[in-house]
Amino acid sequence: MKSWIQVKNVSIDIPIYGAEKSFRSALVRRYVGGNVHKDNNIVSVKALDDVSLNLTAGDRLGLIGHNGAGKSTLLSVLAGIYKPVQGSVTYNGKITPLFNLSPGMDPADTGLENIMTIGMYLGMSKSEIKEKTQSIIDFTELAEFINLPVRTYSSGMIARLTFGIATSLEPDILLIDEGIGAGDQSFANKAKERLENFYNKINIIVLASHSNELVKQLCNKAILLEHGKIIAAGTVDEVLKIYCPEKNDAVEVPELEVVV
Amino acid sequence: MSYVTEQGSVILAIPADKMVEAPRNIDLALQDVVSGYFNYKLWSFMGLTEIRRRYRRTVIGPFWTTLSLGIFVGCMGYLLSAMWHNDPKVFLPYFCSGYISWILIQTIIMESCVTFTSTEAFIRQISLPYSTYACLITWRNIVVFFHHLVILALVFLYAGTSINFNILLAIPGLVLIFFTGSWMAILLGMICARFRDIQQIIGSILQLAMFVTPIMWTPEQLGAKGLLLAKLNPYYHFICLIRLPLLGQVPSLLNWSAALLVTSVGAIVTLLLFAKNYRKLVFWL
Repeated sequence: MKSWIQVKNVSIDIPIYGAEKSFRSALVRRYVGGNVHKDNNIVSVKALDDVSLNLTAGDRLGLIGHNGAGKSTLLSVLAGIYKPVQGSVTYNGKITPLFNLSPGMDPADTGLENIMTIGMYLGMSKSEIKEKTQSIIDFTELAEFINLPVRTYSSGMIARLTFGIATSLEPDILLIDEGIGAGDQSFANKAKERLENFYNKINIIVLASHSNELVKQLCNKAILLEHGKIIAAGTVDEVLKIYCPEKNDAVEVPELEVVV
Repeated sequence: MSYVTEQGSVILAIPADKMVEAPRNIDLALQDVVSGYFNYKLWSFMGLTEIRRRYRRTVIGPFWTTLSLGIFVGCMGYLLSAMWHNDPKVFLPYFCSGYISWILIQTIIMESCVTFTSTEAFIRQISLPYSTYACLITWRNIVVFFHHLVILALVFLYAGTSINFNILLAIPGLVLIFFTGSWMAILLGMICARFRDIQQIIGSILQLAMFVTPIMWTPEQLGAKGLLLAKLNPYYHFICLIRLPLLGQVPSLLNWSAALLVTSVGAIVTLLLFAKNYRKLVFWL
């Protein structure tokens, strides 16, 4: 089955609840004084503004933009964490957000227990995890350490473990914020190979990153976000030219069309 | 319109070629509830993991709560039976079964207030149906309840209470409490995420409710007035659904209908509020 994502005119307003978070002020606001337009009273930030895009199998989309441009918000929308009030997101296939490589990790649990917990949180089934556990252990080279609490691990070992678990996922659509790292320098080659295998099996990847190098390496398409709007879309090179014009003189602005 | 594809992935709306507009809130809420409840493999695993972690490296594990509860029940049971001039062998089983049922309900409600605020890290990183977290809370407390049955067994041994097959009627009671607890965890979790004061109010209400509900006393002690007071109290009916079967009696039709009424009204209100605020909930955290 082919994977696809369709984002249609999505806008996201993030309301900022501060002083009026408490029940009393909401009550006071409603019954004392004439503040009828209570919705207008809540300050909100427009994190995404009328964003549309289509992605199909084979697409590797890089999200480029400055801090606060809306990259992570867009990823959260694709992940289903933010549910758009305006516009819609439809998709086909299993979407896996990998914003955190180790959700639910507990340092006092053993490596083996953590493989199960993290795997479940990342959306694998128990039997799937059991099947993959041995290959994860082999890959991480943790050997008998796998039966010790994770707090006894070095940071490199923890990185290897979470990397091993994350790359054993088989999503159709992968969402990542910055890259996936494996820690250890000595481990880099082995990790690189595994990561490539992992990426190759995935239908659609969406990567938000500040690193132009990473986007060039991994993606074949890119969009440039600014203040929550898509201001450019096209191949990675085209979009990077617009993003960092100082490096390239000839700038050709492609149409503000969505990626197909 | 189907929500779940063959691969088990959830489609947020109608397939794109047929798509006309964004899904309705009520559809999103229903989809959340259905996929959350059916995700039982995940929430049952998470619940057991949390219990295991809480008592890691302790020798008797979850039975620590049981032990302290047992001491409380033993002491208070003796004191109260002396106060009421009751035979402790009659009063202790009544008090113990009522009190562990109360603890079940009370902790579910208390933890319901933080369903979403305590799981914010997960909600922002992985996309699970919100109802998963609600089921998790209720399930975890029911597991703890089973640990507490040890105290009851000891009390029964001491009092020489005989057990009969009516005890099995506690199972439908627990199923109902699971269902009630899970919508309550969504409802209170949602309200308390938006209005952070509500949690304190609920704490105070629960404290009072423990004394007003016939747990440490029997409704008969207050005569007709007491019975009426008890029957108007929803907690009483839910407690009866567990307490009476444990004591080998059958809950009355009134107990069942009152509990079912509260549950169905609550579930509908929750679903409507959940639907209305479904897209906003994440921003309240």
